[in-house]
Amino acid sequence: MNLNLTSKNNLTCKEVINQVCEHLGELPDSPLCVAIQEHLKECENCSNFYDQLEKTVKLFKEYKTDLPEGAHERLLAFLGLQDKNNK
Amino acid sequence: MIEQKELELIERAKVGDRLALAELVTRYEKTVFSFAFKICRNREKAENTMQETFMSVLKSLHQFDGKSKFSTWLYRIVVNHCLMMARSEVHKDKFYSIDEDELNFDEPEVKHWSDLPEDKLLNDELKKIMDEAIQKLPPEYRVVFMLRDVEGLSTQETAETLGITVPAVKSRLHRARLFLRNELKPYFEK
Repeated sequence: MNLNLTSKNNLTCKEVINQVCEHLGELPDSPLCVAIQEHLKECENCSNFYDQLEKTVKLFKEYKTDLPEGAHERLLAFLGLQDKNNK
Repeated sequence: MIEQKELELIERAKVGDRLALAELVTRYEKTVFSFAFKICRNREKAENTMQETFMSVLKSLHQFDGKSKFSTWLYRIVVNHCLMMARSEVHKDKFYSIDEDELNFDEPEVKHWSDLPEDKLLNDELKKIMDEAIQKLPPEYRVVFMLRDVEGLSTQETAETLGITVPAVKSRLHRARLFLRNELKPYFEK
């Protein structure tokens, strides 16, 4: 992608959305990222899209599951280490 | 200090110290189970994958040379088991295509996903949608998203774990993020 970064207005929403998707959570101080951040401040659609991506990742991070009951003992037995159960 | 203690534990485990092996397994069992579950979305399959992963660990621990983090080495093994299971159980044509053309962004208006109360955020309905969304993703994309975004490995570590290039990680991550966002969209905008 060949972007002219002399003005934030040169970034289209499509370019911004592709870039924020690639650089989510790691927008450093490069000229491109500064331009993206400027665009996000002014464009509600792109800002909402960025928030949606962040929320998507956050939800998958928060969706956790515990080890099933007895799984630790079954694992050690499977490995022949049941006599070393120090849990 | 923690790393040094872990290296000592690994060295003891390498020479067959069963107490050290059990401690190593105990230390990482939740990580491995949790990761396997995130890939296959089934507790029984995740437990089987965890068992097979640690069996592989015990068999190949002597090959761990300490050049990478132990967790990175472990992720490599669990990823291989997850991919083997995914490929053996699901026919490829069940996965959705996530070609660039189909992910082209073409929405005239992007709505704000209103903040839901905490107890509504991860309810059963949303979990079901998330399970289905992940299972639609081809496994090669699924593991990249889980390693990089959910487990928090760096792009470089993700590439090393999967044996692919950094640009390949970025490309798959980009598509996976877009795909998953699109799958959750109807829930938040209904």
